Amino acid sequence: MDTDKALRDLNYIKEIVSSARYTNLSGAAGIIAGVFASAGFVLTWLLLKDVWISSNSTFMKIAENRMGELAVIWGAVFVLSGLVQAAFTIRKAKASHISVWSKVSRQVLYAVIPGFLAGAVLTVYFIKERNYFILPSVWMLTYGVAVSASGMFSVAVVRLLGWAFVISSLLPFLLIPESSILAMAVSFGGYHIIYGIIVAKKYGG
Amino acid sequence: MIKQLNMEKNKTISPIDLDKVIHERMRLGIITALAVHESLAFNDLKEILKASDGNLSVHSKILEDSGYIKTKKAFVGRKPKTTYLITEKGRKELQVYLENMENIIKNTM
Repeated sequence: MDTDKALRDLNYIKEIVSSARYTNLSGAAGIIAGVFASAGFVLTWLLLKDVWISSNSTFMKIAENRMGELAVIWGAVFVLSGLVQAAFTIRKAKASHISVWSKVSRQVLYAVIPGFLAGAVLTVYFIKERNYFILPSVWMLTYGVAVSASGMFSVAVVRLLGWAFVISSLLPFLLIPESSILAMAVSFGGYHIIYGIIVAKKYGG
Repeated sequence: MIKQLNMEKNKTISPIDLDKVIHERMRLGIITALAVHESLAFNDLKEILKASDGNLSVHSKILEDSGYIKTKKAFVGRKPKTTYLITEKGRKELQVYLENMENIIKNTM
């Protein structure tokens, strides 16, 4: 092999690598995130069950009194799911001898940031406005945006998960606001579990 | 003459023991794609490498026989579906191949 061949090979390798998609997905992490979200929903329901099917204003008043608890519950769901995701991603990368911090994994990370930021900004805004009822829909929409954006660098099932969140958020957002917490349970709980099963089957882990 | 000098130089700095199995361009492509994607169906691999059915079959067979990649066969409905995966050995050999390339380029600079 001479230098010319080495350089030609190098360019060829570059070309193939640049067609790479992020497939270091963990099915188990998806399922666990779904279980955490379902647990979050059950706790929310226990906290608010007395006013669950009451008028919007009563519900919001009670929800406002319980803001601290709700924030702890959903904050814990979010943080724990993130930690599990990180741990399983690292574990799977190690098991398959690939780098966690590759070009494509950075692209995935950068792609989710704007969606998450938008979610954080809107959360602060609506808490200030005392419109807690809208928060689940906001989270579904912005999370869906973040996931579908990251799916551009990954496989179809990730994009599908993102779109499922975005489309499902329209129902509580625009049509039936009362369904927002239930919609959050179905999406963050159910969709993640379905997604996790598909990923585990197709990509393992 | 220049080429000969280069070879001399390579010999003294790093003995090049290039892997014959990977050397073929198509085989280098297959093993690189599998190193990045972990597992690929025959058609996905074909698309990435822009290869013909026959060409891909021949070269993947050589890589499989050498233990660099392995295949999984399954039936989707009635159609057989072949999935390719890289082996530990294949990943290691690709690493060695890349290091050799690096040395060659370094030696000429």
